Amino acid sequence: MFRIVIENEDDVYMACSIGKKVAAEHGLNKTQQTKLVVSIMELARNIVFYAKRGEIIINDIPSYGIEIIAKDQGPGIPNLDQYIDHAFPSKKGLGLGLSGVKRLMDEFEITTAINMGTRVRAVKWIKEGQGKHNDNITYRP
Amino acid sequence: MTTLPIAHDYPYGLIELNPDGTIQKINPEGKRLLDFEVEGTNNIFNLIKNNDAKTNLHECFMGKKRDFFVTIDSHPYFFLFHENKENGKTEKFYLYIFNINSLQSSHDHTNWNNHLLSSVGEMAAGIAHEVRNPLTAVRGFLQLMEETASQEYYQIAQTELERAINILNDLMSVSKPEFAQEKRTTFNICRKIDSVLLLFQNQLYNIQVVKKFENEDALVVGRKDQIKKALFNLIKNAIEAMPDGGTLTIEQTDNYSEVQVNISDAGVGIPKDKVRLLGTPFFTLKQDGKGMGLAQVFNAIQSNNGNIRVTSEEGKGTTFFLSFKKMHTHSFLGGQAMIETVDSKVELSQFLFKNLDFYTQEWLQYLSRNKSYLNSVLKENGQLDDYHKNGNPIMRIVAENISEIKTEEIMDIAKERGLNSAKTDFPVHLAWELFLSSRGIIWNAIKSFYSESDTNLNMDEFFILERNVNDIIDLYLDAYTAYYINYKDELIKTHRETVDELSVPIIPLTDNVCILPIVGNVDTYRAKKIREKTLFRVKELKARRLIIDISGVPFVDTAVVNHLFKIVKGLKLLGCSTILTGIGPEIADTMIELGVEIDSELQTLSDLQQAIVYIQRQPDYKPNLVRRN
Repeated sequence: MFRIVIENEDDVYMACSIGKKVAAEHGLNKTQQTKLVVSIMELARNIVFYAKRGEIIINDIPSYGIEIIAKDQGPGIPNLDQYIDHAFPSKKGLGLGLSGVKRLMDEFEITTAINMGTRVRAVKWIKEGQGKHNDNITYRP
Repeated sequence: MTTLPIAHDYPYGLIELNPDGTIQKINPEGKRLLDFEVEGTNNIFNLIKNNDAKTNLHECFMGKKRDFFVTIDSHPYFFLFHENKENGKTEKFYLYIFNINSLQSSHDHTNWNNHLLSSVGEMAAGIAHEVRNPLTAVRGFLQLMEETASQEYYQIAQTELERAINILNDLMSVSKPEFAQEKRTTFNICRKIDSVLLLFQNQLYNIQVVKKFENEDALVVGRKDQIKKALFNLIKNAIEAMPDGGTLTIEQTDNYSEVQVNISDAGVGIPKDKVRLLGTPFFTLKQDGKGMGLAQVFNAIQSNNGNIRVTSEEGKGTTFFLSFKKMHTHSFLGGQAMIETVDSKVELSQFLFKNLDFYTQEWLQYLSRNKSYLNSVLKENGQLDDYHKNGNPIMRIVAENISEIKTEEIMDIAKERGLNSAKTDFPVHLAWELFLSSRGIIWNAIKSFYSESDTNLNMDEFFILERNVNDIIDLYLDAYTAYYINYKDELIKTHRETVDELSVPIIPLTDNVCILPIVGNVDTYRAKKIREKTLFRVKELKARRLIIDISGVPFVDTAVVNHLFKIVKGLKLLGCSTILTGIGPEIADTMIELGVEIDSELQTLSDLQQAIVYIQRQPDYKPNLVRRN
C-alpha cells in the first residue's frame, strides 16, 4: 500500500508514477494502465486545486484490483450530482474530472460533506468485467 | 432574543446564534458591544456596524475561520466562534467577544500585591539610600568625637544610629534585593526547609514541629537564597506568633507542575481586615516589627514565579500556602541540591574535550569496520582527515554546549557543514548515518564518564541530562538538514528554470508552418510557460499552422487537455490553426471515457509524418524552407 501526501503538482506526478508502477506490476495492459494513472492524476489534481492538501492511497488488492483512495479535508463538493452525472463547467478545468474518473474506473464511490472534506474510492479491476458495477454516492449537505 | 441570565457579570460578550445568523440570546456586554438601537431585526449581520468584524464573521459562518481580532473604538477585541453540533448538524453558534485590554487589566488586578510592593518598595529604597548616607557620615564623626567627650550620650547616639542604618539596610534588601543578581537554580525545597529549621533550634523547645513531606526529592526552580530567606521569615513569624508554644506544621505536596509548601502555626492569628495588607512594606502587627519580613516573602515568592496565599483565624493560627514551579526540563540549570550534576556537567564537558580524539578514533574505527561504503566516500572527499584533525564535530558541539546551550553557534556550525555537504553532493542518508553513529559514540563517552567518576545520577537527573544532550544534537541535526535541503531545493529551482527555457522548442518547418513537440508532464506552471512562449514565437515566425505533437506526453488528463485547448484558442486569435498529433490509442481511449470532446477547430492526425504530408497537400503550401542568412 502506498500513501502519497498531495500538496502540490509535483506530488501529483509522484502519485502517478507510483500508480503506473503498481499497475504494471499487476499486469494491467497499456490502456488500463493509462486509465488508472489518469484517474489518479484527476483525483490528485482536484486535491491540489480545491482542497490544497490531502492524500492518495494506492492499494493493490491481490487478484481483485487496484484501489485508489483520495482523501482531503477541503471545502467539499456542493451540487455533487451535477459533477457526477454530466459535465459541469468548473473554473479550473474542463469539469470532466470526477465524471471522467467514474467512467475510467470499474468501481467508484464518493463521500463528501461541505467544509468537511471529500473521500473518493475507486477500483480498477485486474480482469476486465470481473464483477458488477458498484457505484455509490453519499452526499451530506 | 433573550438576555442570557447566566451572563450578568461576565467581562466578555456572549451571543448565541442560529445557523442563519439570528441572535438567540445575548448577554449585556454583548449588547453593549453591538450597540444596537434597531429593534425588530435580530440578525447579527444587520446589527454589527464594524465592517471588518462583519466580513470576519461571515468567514466564520462559512467555516473558514474560528477566531479573529478586530479593533472597535480603539479597543482590541478577540472574537471566538464556537459551533455546537448535534448529529453532524450545526445547531447553534456561540460567539464570544473578549476585550483584550480588560482581560489584561483584570489579570493585572490579581497581581495588585506585586505592583504595590514594587512601587512602594522602589520609593522606599530610594529614600533609604538617600538617608543612609548622611547617617553613616554622622556615625563616623561620632566615633571620632568619642575620645574627647562624655561617653554615655555618644553610646546612646551610636546605638540608635546603628539601629536606623540596619532598618534602612533591611528595607533596601526587600525592594532592591541583593538576590537580584542571584542566578536561578534548581534545588531541593525540603532540604532548604530542614536547614532553615536548624537555625531555630534554640527557640523550638516549647514548639512542636510537624513535618509532612510528600516528596522529599521535589525540585523547584528559583533564586535559592532569596527563597531560603523567605522561608526563614515565614518560620520566624510562625514561631513568634506562638510565644506560649504550640504546633508548627510544615507540609509539602507536589503535583505535575507545582510544588506546594504550607506553613501553619497555631498562634495568635491575623485580624480579618488586616490579612489583605500582608506583604505591604512597613505593615506590621508586631510590637517592634519593621514590616519588612513578609514584604520580602511576598516579593521573593512572586519574583520566582511562585504563588502565595494566606488564611488566618484570630486565636487559632495562620497558614501560608506557597507554590513553586516545578523544575522545567528544558530550562535545567542545576543548583544546590543538584550540585553534583552541575559540577559534573562542567567536568563532563572537560572530559568530552579531553577524550575527543580518543572517541573520534573509536568512532572512525567503527565506521571503517561497519560502514565501509560510507568510509570510502568520506575518504574521497577528504572529510576523514578533517575528523582526524578536529574530532567528531557533533561531539565537539556537545562538549561546548553541555553546560550552557548556545543556539546560534550551533546553528552557524550546522549551516556551514550542511551547505558544504550539499555542495559536495554528500548524500543525506549517509549524513544521517554519521549523525546516528556520532550520537552513539557520544553516549558511550558520557556513560564511561559517569562510570569512571563517583557521581551518581538518579533517574530524574539522568533524563534531564538525556534531554540536554539530545536537544543539542537535535538542534544541530535540524539546522544541518534544513540548510542542506534548502540548498538542494534552490538548485532544483534553477535547473528547472533552465529546462523551462529549453522545453518550448518551436521548430519552423516551412515559412508558415511550425512544429511544437511537447515532451514530459505538463503541469500548470509548464503549461503557462508553453502558452506564453508559443504565442510569442508563432507571432514572431508569422506561422499560419502549428503542429503540436504530444506523443512525448505520458499521460493526458483533463487538466492537460484544458491547457492544450487554451493554447489552441490563443493561436486561433493569432490566425494560426493547430494540428494535434501523437495521440496514442491508450490516450485516445482514456480521453473518450473522460468525456473530452475535440473541438472542430482542432485538427487531429495520428503522427507527425501524416501531418507533414497533409500540409504539403494544402493549396497554400509554400515549399520553400526557412532562409538562413
